[in-house]
Amino acid sequence: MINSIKIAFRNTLRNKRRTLLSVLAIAIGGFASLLIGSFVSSVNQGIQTGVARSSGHLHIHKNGYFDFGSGTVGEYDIENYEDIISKIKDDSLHKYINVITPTLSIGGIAGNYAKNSSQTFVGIGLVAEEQLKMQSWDGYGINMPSEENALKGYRGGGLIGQGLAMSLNYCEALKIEGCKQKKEQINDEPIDEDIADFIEDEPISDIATVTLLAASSKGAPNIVRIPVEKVWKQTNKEMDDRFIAMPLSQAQTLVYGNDTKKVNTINVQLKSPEDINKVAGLLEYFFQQNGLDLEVIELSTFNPQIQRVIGMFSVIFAFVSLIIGLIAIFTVSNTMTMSIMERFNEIGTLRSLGLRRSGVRTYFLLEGTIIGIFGATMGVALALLITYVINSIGLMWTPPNVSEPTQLVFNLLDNPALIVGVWVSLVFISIISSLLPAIRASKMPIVDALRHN
Amino acid sequence: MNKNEIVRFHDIHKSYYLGEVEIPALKGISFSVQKERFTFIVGKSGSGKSTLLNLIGAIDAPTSGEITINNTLISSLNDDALSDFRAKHIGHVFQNFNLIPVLNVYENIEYPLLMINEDRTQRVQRVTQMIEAVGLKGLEKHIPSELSGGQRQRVAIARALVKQPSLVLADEPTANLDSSTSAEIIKLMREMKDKYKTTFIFVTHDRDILDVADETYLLSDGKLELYHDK
Repeated sequence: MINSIKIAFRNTLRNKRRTLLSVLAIAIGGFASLLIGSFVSSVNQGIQTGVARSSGHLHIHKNGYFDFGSGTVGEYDIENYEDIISKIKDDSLHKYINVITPTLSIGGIAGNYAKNSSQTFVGIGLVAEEQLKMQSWDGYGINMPSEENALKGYRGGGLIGQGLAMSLNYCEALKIEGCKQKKEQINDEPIDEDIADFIEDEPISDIATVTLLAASSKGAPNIVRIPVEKVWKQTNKEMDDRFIAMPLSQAQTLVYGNDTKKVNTINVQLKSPEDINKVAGLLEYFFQQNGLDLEVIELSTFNPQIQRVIGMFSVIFAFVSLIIGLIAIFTVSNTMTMSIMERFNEIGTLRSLGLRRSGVRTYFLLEGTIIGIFGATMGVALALLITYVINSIGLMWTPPNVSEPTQLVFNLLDNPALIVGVWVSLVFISIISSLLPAIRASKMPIVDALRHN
Repeated sequence: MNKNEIVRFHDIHKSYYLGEVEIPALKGISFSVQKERFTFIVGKSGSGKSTLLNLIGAIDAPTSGEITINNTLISSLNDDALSDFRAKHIGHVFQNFNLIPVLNVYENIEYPLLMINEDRTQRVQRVTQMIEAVGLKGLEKHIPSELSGGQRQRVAIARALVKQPSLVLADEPTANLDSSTSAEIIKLMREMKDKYKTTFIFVTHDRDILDVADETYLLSDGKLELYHDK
């Protein structure tokens, strides 16, 4: 076998230019596959990091909330959520958890009546310190900049989407850069009595405030006025045009008034994304053991967009890999065919010396393997070099589901499975490409082969 | 087949086909070659000499008839068994030398021993002996393109003999050599025959080398006849 490898290796060097072209074709194919593969992997990790930072990996709801409760008020809310969180923190499963924090989603009408503006809103009541901790999560080690500016130094006012801020004419009050000032509407129609009373009760100060009107848990409308602290720009424009975040206690006052305070979601952010399924199972067991009527929803379920984006990139990767594979097959097959055509006489000589057909096949398959190994190794080396250079340059881009530009990072070294997978695939393709020419060579009648000079 | 015979042909026919047209090359040839003889087959170009040699060398099959080499009916062997038979019993010397271009002199001569899985010690000993016997000492590391025609044919002879086969077949071995080198090569082959007790069968149209033959056959119009026997 060593002798066969030696002969095969020397034969690959006989026509150096042709061999080099095949090696380069495979190397460039490997490089492209690895670059795209690591880009897809980076996008995947970036999206998951973004979602994990804002919403965590798991959502705990009252049973049925995910299917039926997102538009209701009060019906699917979690009572005693502080006890539940406390019990989870005391349980052994807490070792997997980075942050566990309650949130309350609300909806209604937001108004800046001083400017005659109102708009429907989607709000969230949150615990700022815990959300801030969630924003610094980096379970994939990709050093993605966190969108923690809005929560940094938070003083407990309203955080408002830029789109909503523009709709409600807060451009000047919040000193928003690049803000488009909406024309002030002159509305002669009288304001609803309850709202008018409320506005009169709370004299307008220098601080920008927003009046939130929402249905309480008992079905009656309720109103709160909160100071608007700053803008928290959202990735999704539709969300940005309606978003308000506020302290949990403020949201609870709007929904429950003086009644028992509840939440509709407990967000769980894990230390490692690999533990999602395991912790989901442990939480379900925990709820059963403690007689809690709660459900656990995983990240991929509460944010199906992730799967779609990752799926799209995976299809692109598969498609490009297919094209690269076909080019590699064509190139190596062509090289081997040319090589065999030039060596008919040599094949005949080897066969007349006693080499079996399988021996001829082995020679050419070994040549294909050697070309594949060199090409794939060169491709990996090239990809490592180029990704290192790109990572060092610090190119910026805005990934899907992220509002701020972030550094374009190719995490190739963190993805050994991709490197090994591409390397093995290319060598395998090279071997497969050599197979047909090798079989043809081995089946050639010896006398016919010897006639070629 | 008697014990002194190494090759026996019985009623061998060989035809080629051009489309559906049958072109007979050999027409019912029966003959035998004795062991340790220096046998020549002569004939005009296109008379079927090489076809006959290919059949003896088990690299081609007859259309009909039986060929026995070294007491083995070769038509009964499958392709792998035929390959093994060639590797063990038959040495080939070609008109164009047919050395493996990527192997040096030593490796070319060693190659047939690797085919029969000879152990390393034996290989080194036999190859070294053979290089000395054919006068190529000092050229072991040279590749074929660095050798003259005569040197290449010496390598080919050493390669054919290194496994000590019972039969060596030489197809026009002097056709690409000048007359003095041709004489040297034939002399060397004769010496090798005597030294290793090997049977040589030549195909040639070079009348100058016929005087060293133990026997000469003439192939004409697909028929073989004994032309000369010492």
